Amino acid sequence: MALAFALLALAALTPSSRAQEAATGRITGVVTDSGTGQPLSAVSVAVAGTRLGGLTDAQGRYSIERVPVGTHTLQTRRIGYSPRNIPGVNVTANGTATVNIALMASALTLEAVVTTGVVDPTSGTRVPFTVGRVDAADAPVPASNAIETIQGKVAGVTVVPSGQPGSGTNIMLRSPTSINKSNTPLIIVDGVIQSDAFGGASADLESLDIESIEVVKGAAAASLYGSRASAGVISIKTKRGSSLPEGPPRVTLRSEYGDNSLGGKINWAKYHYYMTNASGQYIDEDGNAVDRSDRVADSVFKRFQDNPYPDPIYDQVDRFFDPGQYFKNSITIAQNTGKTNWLMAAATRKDDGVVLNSGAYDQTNFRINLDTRPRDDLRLSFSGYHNISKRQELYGDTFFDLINQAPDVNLLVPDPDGTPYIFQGDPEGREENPLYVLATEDNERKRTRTQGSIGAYYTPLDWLTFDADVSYDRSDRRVNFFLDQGIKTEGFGGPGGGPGEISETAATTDALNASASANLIGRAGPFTVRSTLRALVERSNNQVTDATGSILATPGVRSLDNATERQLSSEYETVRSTGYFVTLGADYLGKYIFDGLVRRDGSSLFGPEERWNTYYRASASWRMAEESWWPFAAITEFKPRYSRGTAGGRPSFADQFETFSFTSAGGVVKETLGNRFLKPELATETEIGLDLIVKDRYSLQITRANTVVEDQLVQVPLAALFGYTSQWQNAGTVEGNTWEATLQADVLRRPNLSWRVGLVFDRSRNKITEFDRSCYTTNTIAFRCAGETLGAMYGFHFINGTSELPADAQGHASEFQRNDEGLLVWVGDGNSYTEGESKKLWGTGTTIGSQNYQWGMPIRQVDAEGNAAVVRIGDGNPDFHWGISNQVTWKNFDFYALVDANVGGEVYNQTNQRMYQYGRSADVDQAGKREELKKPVDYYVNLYAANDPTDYFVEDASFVKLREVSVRYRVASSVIDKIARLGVKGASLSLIGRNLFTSTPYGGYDPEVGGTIVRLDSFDYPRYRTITGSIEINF
Amino acid sequence: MKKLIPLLVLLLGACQELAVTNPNEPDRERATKEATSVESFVSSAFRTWFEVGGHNDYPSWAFSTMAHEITSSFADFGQFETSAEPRSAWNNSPVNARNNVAETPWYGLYGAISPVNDALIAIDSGLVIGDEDRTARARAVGKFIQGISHGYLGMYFDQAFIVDEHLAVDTISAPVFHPYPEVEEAALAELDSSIAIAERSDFTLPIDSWLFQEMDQDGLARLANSFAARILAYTPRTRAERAAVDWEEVIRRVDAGITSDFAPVAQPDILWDDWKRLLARKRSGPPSDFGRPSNWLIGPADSTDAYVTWLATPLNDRHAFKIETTDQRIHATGDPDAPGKYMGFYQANIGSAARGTWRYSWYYYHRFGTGDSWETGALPSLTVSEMHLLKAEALIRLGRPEEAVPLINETRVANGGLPPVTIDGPPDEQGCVPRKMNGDCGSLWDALRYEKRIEGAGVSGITAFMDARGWQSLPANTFIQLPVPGRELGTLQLPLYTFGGPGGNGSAPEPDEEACPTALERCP
Repeated sequence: MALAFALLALAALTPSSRAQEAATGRITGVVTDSGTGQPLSAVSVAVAGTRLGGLTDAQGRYSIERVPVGTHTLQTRRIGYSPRNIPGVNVTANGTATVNIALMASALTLEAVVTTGVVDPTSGTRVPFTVGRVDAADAPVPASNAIETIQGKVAGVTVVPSGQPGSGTNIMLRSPTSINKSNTPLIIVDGVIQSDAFGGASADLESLDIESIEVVKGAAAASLYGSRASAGVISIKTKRGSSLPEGPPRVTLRSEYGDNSLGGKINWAKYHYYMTNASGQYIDEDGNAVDRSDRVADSVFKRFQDNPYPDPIYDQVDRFFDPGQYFKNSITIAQNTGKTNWLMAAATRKDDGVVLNSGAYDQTNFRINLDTRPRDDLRLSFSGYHNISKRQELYGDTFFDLINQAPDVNLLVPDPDGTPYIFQGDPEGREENPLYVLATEDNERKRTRTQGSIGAYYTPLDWLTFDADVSYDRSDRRVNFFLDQGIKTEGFGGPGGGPGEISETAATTDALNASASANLIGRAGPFTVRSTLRALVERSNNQVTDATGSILATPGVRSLDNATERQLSSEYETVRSTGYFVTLGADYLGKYIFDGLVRRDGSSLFGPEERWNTYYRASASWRMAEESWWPFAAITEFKPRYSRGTAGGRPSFADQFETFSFTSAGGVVKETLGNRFLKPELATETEIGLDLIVKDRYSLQITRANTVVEDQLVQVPLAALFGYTSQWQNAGTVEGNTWEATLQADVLRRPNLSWRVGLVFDRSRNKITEFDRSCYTTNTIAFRCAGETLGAMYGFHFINGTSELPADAQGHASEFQRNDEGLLVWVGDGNSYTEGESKKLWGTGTTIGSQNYQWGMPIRQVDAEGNAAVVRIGDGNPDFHWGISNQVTWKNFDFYALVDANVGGEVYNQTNQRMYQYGRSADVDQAGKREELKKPVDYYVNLYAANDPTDYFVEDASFVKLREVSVRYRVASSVIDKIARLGVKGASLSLIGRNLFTSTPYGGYDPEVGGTIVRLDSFDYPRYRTITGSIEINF
Repeated sequence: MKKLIPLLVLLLGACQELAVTNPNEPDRERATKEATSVESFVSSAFRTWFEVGGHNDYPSWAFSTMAHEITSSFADFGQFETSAEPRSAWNNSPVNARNNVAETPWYGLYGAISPVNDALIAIDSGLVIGDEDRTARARAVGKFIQGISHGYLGMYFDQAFIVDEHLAVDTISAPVFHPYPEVEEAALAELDSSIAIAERSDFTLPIDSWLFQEMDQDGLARLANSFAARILAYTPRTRAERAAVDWEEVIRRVDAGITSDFAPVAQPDILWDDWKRLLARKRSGPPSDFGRPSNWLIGPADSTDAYVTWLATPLNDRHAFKIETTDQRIHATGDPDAPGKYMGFYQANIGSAARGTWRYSWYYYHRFGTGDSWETGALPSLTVSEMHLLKAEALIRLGRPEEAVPLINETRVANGGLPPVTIDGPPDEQGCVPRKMNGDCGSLWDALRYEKRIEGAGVSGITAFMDARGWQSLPANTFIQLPVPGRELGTLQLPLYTFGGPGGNGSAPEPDEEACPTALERCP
């Protein structure tokens, strides 16, 4: 901050260089659309090689003063139009050169100006590496989570959204870069580096604010961001008044309203396996009719789940989930006065989600962006954002409790204590009714997020700019939990209820980032040279305080003082980092482009002996179509490019420290053995590619990226006698490669009809190539081992053939058969797997060699030592992604649809697996099966395998998804004219759909579940669809 | 002025100090230099031990269900896998989802030893904690923790490291495993060292930390002797090894041991017995919804033929049954539906039929309370009755069964309300408790085993297993000890191995528990 003021003071003291210039003239003109002839506002017209320029007004007019005498080239930029260079503009002393310019509509992202990963805004055609980009115009459907805006629109992006509204999202660029640490890219909004110290940070952002998003996918481009950028960078620019023509303030009101609904379902069993009489009543072994609680399971040889329930049954999915409402209102006021522009935006959102009467999310946010030029050589920029949100939290076992409900349990009957939903509808009392818990727990999350940045840009000379910026990001989070005395809980299901519980968690994260730089841009003959020297500092703190109390003294009192038992805990982390970098970029006649960068980063997160690390980037490209000999006139851009760079991934706060952990009341336990030599993960990426533009209507970008991430941060276990359980070490390497292709086409461009298509494709592979510790499983299915992919699933395998039998059973192969599911089972000599009931063979067994075999039951593969073998059972990595977006404008209608797909890739369906435990999955029902193929519930419990991961529950999670659809009608100008006296300048109506339809073989709610690497479906809040209508009015 | 700008840019970063401390936890240096923190290493070690000493979920659930003490069809803590019948080998792979059965006690016990060793090293280097007696207290309890930790390592695992304050851990590149008899020997020496320090000191242990029971130096010495008796009697893996125990020494240790129950006082979030909590858990449905007294535990008290019939039924056709008994610990006298002192009747099944209806029991457990009672109050952990019944076993084995009789009758009569046994066993009459598996009236040996099982149930989750392997009552092919966990073998780059299963190493033989160690009436 101090430096920013220093720069301001410096600017005040330095006489304007402009005043020293002599012999200048003026350039003026009108910019129009070449197709329609209509004037274009907000077109940036600049004098090449200088910092002179301006924006067109509402009539398309521009004027550039004090242009040095000579011949110049004008450059134009506007979103949605191809940039143009107009050479040969001759300026005479005190004269006025009039240059009228017609721009061709286009939306080729490849030509858009890039600001991320580079020091100076640069046309995409001059950037020697890949930068993905999405403009607001490409995203007519505001995403539920702002970061998800890029899903399906940028190649190399993997997004696995979280289900509950107000959650963060899971995002990964290209291939994974870290075995243990985050694979989430660094996120920057208007220069504010977003904290990653707490969960769901991206949920605080507002998608309506977005002007553009740039995606820098790997180290080859992201080296500028040093030790935080190995997973890439996503940079969001929010809307500013600068994009408006000069004039009075403009007001935009937008209101969106609609419903959420569950897209996919899971299928519930409808039958039971208890003994019944001819009337369907439960009976005991003596044939006496008994109550449900005294029912007796059928004999093991015929324990088939094919008996209809005597009582009504319910579809618990339908009863638990309920369409909730979605609405979002916003107002934006903005103005551009030439020297100053500003924008204020406020939005409020309410999203009920899809759980009956629970889990609602409310968010309100406010933004102000301001730019001003107090002098021609000084620009000040300010961005401020404040967000408040509130969410009802669902308890951890919500969806687990749901799947354990028996079909004959009515979740919607009231409880005797007055709660609208019964606590325990099942006399067996297995799991409580989640609706009761949700109705009685007060579990609320409140968050506020405040962000601000201020920047100063001082240009004392045409070729020299100093800039400084300071950004601040603060998050305050509170979670208040209150369960009153007398409410029934898992441990206290009786009429008196439980003793009550209360907790409060308060967490604050604040981060201050500042940088200052000197930037040089100049021409030396045919060369254009850019260079920057920058220093950056980061200070961030994260503090969490948690207070929990139980056994309330008095009902209804929501104070921790009311708890007779109390526990406290707190945690404080601080991070300090410093970085310096210098860049040098040059191009020769705009054809041969070079770029180099060196960055030196120091951070408190690194071990004391590895405090400083160095990163670099070197890039080059050749714009061959600019060559005079280029033979293909239709191909206006043909640019092979190469970039190689490094970036880092940082350890977590505690990793370097030797820690003794406190337990309650002064207990001390050894935990991690510290490591003074801990250093960041080092990603080195090499990217080669080709950019191609044909007839200014079609662009194609093809990229191949190879990434090697060494020094992986691995938690290495230690032998028990050391007392410490593990130590973080740099002990592994992950390699990845990605093919990406982005095709954009302006298929039709007519006055009343236009059609744009965008196609993205990517294919990524990854592998752990070095791993200096023993292999291990984590997160149920994930397996970390040299030679294996991140995304590989490991677990147990049910064998399919006699060749997979252990050696000591090979001689008994004739006693085994493959059943109708393709699983090998032991049946004994002379028997068939179809004779389990007729010969009363289910429930019998044998021992062969070192193994026990149950009749007809799936058999786990064992290793040479006789242990159940842990083998590869699947891979969450898809074969490839693709996405197609279409934008059609016809008269006053805009149509938009985004379809994207994962081809290949698997998900482990643990939700369905747990539904096998008590026969809740429809798979366990035997009604309608041929008698000899029926299998007892024991068979399915065997497949359930006590929740061990097995190949039986690995499912193909490929999908094709109609992700976004919108139809927008812009109210005809004839109508607008009639209400112009109200100040209305435009209006539109839209119909919007999100996550509308999914085609997939996956049996869960939605194949987009779990994380980007560990694809585990484990009782998560399901993805849902939203259909809304919106109205937007401009004043 | 312009030249100053780049300088300012550089200064911006240069002025920031990058070294930060960790304010959340003490580092090694801070922790081992201060007397109070060194003392806390010792005073908080017992709670680490307590969890893996039979009072938390691992390894209690696996051991108890394997020993037919408690029945459960849940798989949470490895009990389903380990107690499935017929028995299979223990899957020692580090990727076994239930590897905590072995890993938790292994790392937990060394987690108790390691900070104690740091403290003893500091004390040996001259650190004084307050005064001489206070320092001696830390040393005595430290040696006690070493002893019970090594002792339990020797009871659980086939081999283990012996790590005390004299071992320079930082210089070790290839740790040495010692077979369990050597580990047991080291444990007893450490307990004796603790006793020796206690006997020449004068200190008290407060109720709210250390061992969570108020006692003086003599109390600590008695407790150390009782643990030594446990280690002596429970380390053997087989009937032969149990027979070879120095039973005179067991008697000496019992006599020098506790005179009242060792019952640490629970404190929420600090020390409690999760084994007891889960055993008594009543959520919203039937009580004891996680595990129940097994039919093998209470069946010998049945005066009907339900248990005998149940045993004679093929495993997968067995269902729960109701018994009638004169043992007041199971149900109230004359009323099989009314709860007894330790358990009660509740006709509801828990668990999935598909995991074996033979696991069903219609009896719930309430001896140590239900609900949140496990959060506060005394948690019996090592009882006088256990010690007396160990002594009774010693006396029987030493050919002095008449001296064992009154020890067996202590709880049998007072708690069970049963007629006293004689050297010939319980009175051979209708309602004889216990009965043999064929329905005959049991022997004195049967009465001892029944008494120890029913009095010990729910006290510590591991003792039933230790008795069962020495009494040869484990189902065939049960693993009789745990191997060093697969994760540890992987860390040390040693080959994986395991125990149990058909034809495997360390597999229990066919049970033969009614065979008496010495000649007694009604013994087969």
